[in-house]
Amino acid sequence: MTKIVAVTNCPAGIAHTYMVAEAIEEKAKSLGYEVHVETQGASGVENKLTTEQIAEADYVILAIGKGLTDHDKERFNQKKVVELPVSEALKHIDTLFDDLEANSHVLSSSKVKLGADQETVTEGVMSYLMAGVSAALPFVIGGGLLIAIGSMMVQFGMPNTPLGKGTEPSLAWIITSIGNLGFQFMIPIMGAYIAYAISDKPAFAPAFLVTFLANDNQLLGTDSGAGFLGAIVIGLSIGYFVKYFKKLKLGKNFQSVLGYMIIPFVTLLVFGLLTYFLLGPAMAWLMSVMLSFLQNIPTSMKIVGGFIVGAMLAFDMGGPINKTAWFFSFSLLSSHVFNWYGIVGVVTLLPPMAAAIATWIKPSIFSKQERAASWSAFLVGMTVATEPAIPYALAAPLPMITANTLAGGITGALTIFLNVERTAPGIGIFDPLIGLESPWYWFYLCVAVGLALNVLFIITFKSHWLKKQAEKEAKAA
Amino acid sequence: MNIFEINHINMNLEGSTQHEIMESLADLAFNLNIINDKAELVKDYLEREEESTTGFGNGVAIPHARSNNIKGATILFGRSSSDIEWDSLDGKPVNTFISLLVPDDQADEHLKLLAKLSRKLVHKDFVEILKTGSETEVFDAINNIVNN
Repeated sequence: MTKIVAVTNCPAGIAHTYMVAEAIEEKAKSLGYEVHVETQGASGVENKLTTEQIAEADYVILAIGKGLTDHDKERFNQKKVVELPVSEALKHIDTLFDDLEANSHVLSSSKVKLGADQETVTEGVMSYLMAGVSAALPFVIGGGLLIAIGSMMVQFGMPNTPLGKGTEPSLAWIITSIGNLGFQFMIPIMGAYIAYAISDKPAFAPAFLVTFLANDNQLLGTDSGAGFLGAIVIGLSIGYFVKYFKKLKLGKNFQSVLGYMIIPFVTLLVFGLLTYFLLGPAMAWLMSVMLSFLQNIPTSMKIVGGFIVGAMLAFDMGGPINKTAWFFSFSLLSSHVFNWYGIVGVVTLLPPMAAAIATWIKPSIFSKQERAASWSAFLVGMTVATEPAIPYALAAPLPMITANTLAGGITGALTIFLNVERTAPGIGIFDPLIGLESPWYWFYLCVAVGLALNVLFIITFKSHWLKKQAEKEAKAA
Repeated sequence: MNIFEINHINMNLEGSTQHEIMESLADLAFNLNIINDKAELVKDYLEREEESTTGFGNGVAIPHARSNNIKGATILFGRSSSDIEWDSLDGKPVNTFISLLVPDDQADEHLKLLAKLSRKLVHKDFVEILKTGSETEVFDAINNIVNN
């Protein structure tokens, strides 16, 4: 039996989306075809096509009145697709099915390929995280490059004057400040899009605001924000919370305001307070426990300590665990102990540079977007910040975080064993050149060893993980 | 207010051009206290027509608009005594109008009803009632879909 899947949408999302959906369904059924039509109307996507339905379909009809995003089209890669304006579909509904074979073309979009011949993950937690990744990447790329430009300007001797009473800020400071917004908003955008992918618009605002709160140490009164792991936890919990909230029946009078008033209001209140009173204190407690643990590592166990600090630095990239290790190392500078801060100088370079190098060595285990972002991740990573590694970690948390943490730990141990010292924050890989990190030869050796290990771990772990994911999906199908 | 009532029907819409029919529909909407501004609704109708015609053939058009000028999701129904040129998909003039009005922030429930109604518009028997039925028959046919 011929099997058809279709997608309809239109400018207002009120009338034609549904007329054409119905017309296609009726016509296909009258011909004895099996048909599934996804409507993308004003009330969101309904009857969303499953991976299985698409896989089995002989033809795909896209009756489109307001366009389809590339991301949305990727689902139909390598399928026989008939694409036409929604009004044309309505006009020619009687003849539309006459010669699908001749009117269709095989769609080859730049599909996100995870692994050799694997399908795009379209459902489940991973697809929600991927939604967060693609939303966050432009933030980290744009912001990161601006910060890199700003720091370069300062290193080349331009003034770095912040905005103050009666002082005009310098251009370098302005550029860096604008760039910092990218890093600052990357995290709430991740949380928001993860939640949005699960339960659509009503979840967006509360997830954005709550993740912002959780990542803002000043609002929260802690020493660190929750970082990207916080965005995952909050995005997923709010997403699922709203998903079930939406099913609530409130009677005619209130039902109409459920989506855009009641859900955002209640969700924001509940999760905002939970974040403030539970997540914040829990993080503060965790950080103080870890800090006192680090402070109590006997000096005879320096190598083990180096491993732990390196692993912690690489673990959550700006989150509470990273911040604790950083704070421990940085605060020792005032007592003229420079070797722990040496670990910071080496290990924080690794995750973004290693992720970028891994995309060059083995592109097949990364999405197109991840590959496209690799140069900026590499440049920003080697000069100013670890943040560019976050989207790569979000796209495959388990293998990426394991690889980063393990490589960070081993490199940390090596760095302290070789007694690499760093005296102040600088511009990453160029620190030894401006006299902030020494001896330069051990520094570069540690970076090289760390990168090699980190890249090797990423490729090994992520390939293995992708294979496991593929097996799981094959079993489910 | 319900999404569709008997007084949302005007079996004698005045006008002999697309623009005049839209003005008549806007009058009807304004008198029912559904919109804030008549001219704006006409403008929204026209903008939608520019995207692509809402005359889907067989003498029927569905001018519709989504805007914050609209206070609540509403269905209007009208017929005109003269045939109106509407640039329809089948090239034929139109005399039967079903207009869907939706506020910008409309909640799901009403959108679903309009979707249900839109789906009905591709069924010939339903369209036949819209074209030739009496006021009561038209009311019953639409009401059966959206108010049950």
